[in-house]
Amino acid sequence: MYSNRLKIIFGLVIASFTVLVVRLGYLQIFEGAKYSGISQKRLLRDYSVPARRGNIYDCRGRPLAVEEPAFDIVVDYKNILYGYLRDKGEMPQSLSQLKAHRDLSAGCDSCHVDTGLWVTKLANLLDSAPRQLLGQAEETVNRVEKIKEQVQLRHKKTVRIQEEFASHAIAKDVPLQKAAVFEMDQDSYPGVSLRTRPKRYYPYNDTASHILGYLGRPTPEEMHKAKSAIQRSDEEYKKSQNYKDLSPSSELADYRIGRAGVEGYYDSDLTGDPGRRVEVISLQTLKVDKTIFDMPPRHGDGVFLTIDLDVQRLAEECLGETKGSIVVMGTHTGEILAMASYPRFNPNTLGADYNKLIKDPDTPLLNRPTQALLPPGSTFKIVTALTALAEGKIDLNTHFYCSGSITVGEFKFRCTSAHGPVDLKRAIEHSCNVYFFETAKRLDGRAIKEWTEKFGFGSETGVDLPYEASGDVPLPRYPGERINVSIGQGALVVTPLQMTQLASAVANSGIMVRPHLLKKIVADDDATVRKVEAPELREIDIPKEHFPAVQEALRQVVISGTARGKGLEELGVAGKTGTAQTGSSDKNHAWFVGYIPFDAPRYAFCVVVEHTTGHGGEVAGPITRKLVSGILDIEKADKLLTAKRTAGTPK
Amino acid sequence: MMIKVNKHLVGGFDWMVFGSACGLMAIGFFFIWSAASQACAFRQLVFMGIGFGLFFGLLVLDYMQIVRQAYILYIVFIVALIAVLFLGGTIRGTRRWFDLGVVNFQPSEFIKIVLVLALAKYLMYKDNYKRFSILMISLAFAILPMALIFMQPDLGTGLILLPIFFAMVFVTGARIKHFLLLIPMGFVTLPLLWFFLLRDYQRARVIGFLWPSETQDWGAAYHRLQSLIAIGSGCVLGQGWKQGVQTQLNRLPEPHTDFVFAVIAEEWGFLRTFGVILLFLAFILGTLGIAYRTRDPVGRLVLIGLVAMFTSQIFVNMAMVLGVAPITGINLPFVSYGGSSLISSLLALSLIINVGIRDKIILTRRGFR
Ligand SMILES: [Zn+2]
Repeated sequence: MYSNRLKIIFGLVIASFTVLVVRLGYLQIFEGAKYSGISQKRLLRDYSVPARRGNIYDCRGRPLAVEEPAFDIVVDYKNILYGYLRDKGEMPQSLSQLKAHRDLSAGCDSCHVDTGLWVTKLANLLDSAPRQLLGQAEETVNRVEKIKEQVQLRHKKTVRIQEEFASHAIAKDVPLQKAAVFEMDQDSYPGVSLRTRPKRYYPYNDTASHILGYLGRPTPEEMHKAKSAIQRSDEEYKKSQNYKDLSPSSELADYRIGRAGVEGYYDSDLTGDPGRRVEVISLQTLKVDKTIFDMPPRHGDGVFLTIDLDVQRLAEECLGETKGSIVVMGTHTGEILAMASYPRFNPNTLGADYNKLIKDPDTPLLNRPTQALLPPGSTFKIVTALTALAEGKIDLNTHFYCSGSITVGEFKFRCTSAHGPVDLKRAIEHSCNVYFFETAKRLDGRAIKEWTEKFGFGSETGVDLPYEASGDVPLPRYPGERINVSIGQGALVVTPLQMTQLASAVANSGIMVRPHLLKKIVADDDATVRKVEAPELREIDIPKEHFPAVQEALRQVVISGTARGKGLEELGVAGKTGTAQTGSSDKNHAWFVGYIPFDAPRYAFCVVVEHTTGHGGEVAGPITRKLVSGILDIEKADKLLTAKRTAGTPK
Repeated sequence: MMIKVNKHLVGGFDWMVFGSACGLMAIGFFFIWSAASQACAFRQLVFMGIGFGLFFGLLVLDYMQIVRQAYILYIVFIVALIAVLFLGGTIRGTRRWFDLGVVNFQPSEFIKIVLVLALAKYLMYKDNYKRFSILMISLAFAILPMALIFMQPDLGTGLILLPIFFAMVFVTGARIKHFLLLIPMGFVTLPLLWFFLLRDYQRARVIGFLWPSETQDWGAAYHRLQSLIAIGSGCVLGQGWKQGVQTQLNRLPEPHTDFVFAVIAEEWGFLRTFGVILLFLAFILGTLGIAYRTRDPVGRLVLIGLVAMFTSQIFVNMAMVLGVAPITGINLPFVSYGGSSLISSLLALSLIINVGIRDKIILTRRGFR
């Protein structure tokens, strides 16, 4: 019994090993040539299929960044090589090299006569110097021959590599008209063809350029990350570096990566995942024999922003050609409707402009709303007032007498004028410095710092843009420092976005929202919604009863205070002006921070003009008026449109 | 007396089994070097050192003494398998090992041997092997650790336990009719396994293997293809040690562990790879030879369990690398990189040699009588 059953086990062992040996022999002996890459009949080509980058839209679905075709003229490697050799007027370095290529194209001797002629023809078509095309040809030849040399060294025999059967770009970004002319006359350019390649296009040029950002060439590390859609470890990466010339270098030639703005922040969503294809190529016909692996790419997702293109353009128009920022944000949601910055850049021509832009002293690549660090000036009195109220150091009946200045130690601090006896509301309305100096004297430095930080200063707002600046909240130790900070001067620096966040917190009676630009992420193919951004709220622990007084004071500012007579009252604005000193005596930053409508706030905003000669109300006031009336017009038009639409649709 | 025993020990020492295992380990060392790094290969050497220490240590004991402790070992390792689910380290979303500093201790690698011992102990006291209940209880011995390993989740290692059960119960003489009864039971439990124990990626792998066009697991399909390309480009003579393009470009997944056989095939070519398979065959047949010769049914049972364990592991690994089985994550005994698996293989080898030696002692004892 035992021995019989042992024999069966023995039989099973022999059978399974036989299966393995047969399979191994089949793969290595019969199919070996196909896979080895040195076969005389077939060659394996393994390459990635690029994924389409997702578009960026505004909140109403208007495209802000899209993929457009760009045209490249590509030439078969064989023709490039002939053109190159003909130009050099020399025989190739090794005879075998030429022989290999000749063997290869034995089937079409007739067209060989003019294989080198494409250079002149193309140069004519493109109105460019033949030298330029030949330079590109030389570069390509050098690259391919170097790879080939390495492969041959490894195999110790003559081989053909996939680069030799590919066509390579000789002229990039050919204008549409030239491409069309070429397309019509393609037959007279043997071995030359047109290849389209996706290119990022920003239809509104410099509009919202800082928000959208731009694309750039990846670093070698990023390139590798992109290549390994199928995961690899760092150690393996280092190893593969030694062989990197072996992998097809043209594979990711067009690969771009988001470098700034939304393009950078949501790069992984926009990029998608490349596909992969492995094909067997017949060397006789140079055609694809069979596709043995075909993983489709996962195209990038579309990103919808909270930006309203109308409001954005309005804000940019209001800013005009003055250096500064405008931010408009939904008070309840933190959705940013507009974020304007001047000076701007045009992402469509960034490549050409880049060197000029980085040298520009006005730093046009800086996204001022999130990256400019400015002293907030008197707009900061809102925080000082709420701090003192929360700490119980003042109440609404606290009065201080303003004689136009105050002396602390040996320093004399000035007010804008002599305001006489002032309470909190009047102090905010007329921006009385002395009142806040007196208040600051009662507060200790730690409390000022703590409360300032609670309002989001000194740390990033968390807006979905890369490289946001956090600003700086110093700890005021001496009375002089406290006095400076209380009116937004000294070492305290903030970003315009942080001030917008403050305005919304006051409008919401103490509820902070995280500003954000993303509305939703949607698959561009089938409109599946992948992610919807929800508002993020945080409550500041200040008793609610302190807010109405401040809110009323902010309303008074535009009725009878520092921003009176600017047309803001009629528009329902509440807000605070600010004039921040810059160091040079005649230049200030002019601020206006506020929200509309004053009784039921929907939008918080911040207007700041940097390095201007005027004062806060004078400079920022008219800009604010234009901005707010514009926003209300857009809203009105919107309502009209929706009303029409609902009336038009049958019930 | 001691000298005499030692002489007997050496006399019963099966050099074919031992030699082929050593040869495989040496080949493993060089191909780990080629596929990963020199440092990796030398770490494997350290594991070998630990393994050989345990190998000789275990040889001093009579294997019967070990079999007697089998239930305790079984309970200890079942507890370890449960503990690893909660406390273990994570590799790619699976929990299967404890970090012991030098070695990552992977209980699932050892439970295979422990199951062999426990089944041997259970079956050795049964006088009537033909009862269905014995078959069912034996199956329960295998199912419990299998379920725990599936939960890690590690499909491949769990499945290796089934052949061990089948082979051991089969050799003891269970009725074929009873085996056939297990088939409908399998059909009932299969959906349970499919829906409750398998993770999405495992289902995708199985589907992807059975119906390649339906697959969504492109990674596995790509790995399979790259493995085939590596093996194919080895041709008859191979590309040379450290010269395989697929290997050196890291197109293979896990080149020094699960796919080390593809590395050997690419760099050594058909002739030498065939030699490697022959070494494995020598190892298995040598073990079967001891099982055939020994007079002790318990020893035979242990050996048959180990033969089933090694053969199924070798077969599943090579079949995976050769593209005829799904990618399950089973490594090649003695060759693949990995502390736990190498040490457990050496422990199994120790048991095999042990049975061979003691058998000789029994024979000589009888000769004296
Ligand atoms: Zn005053």
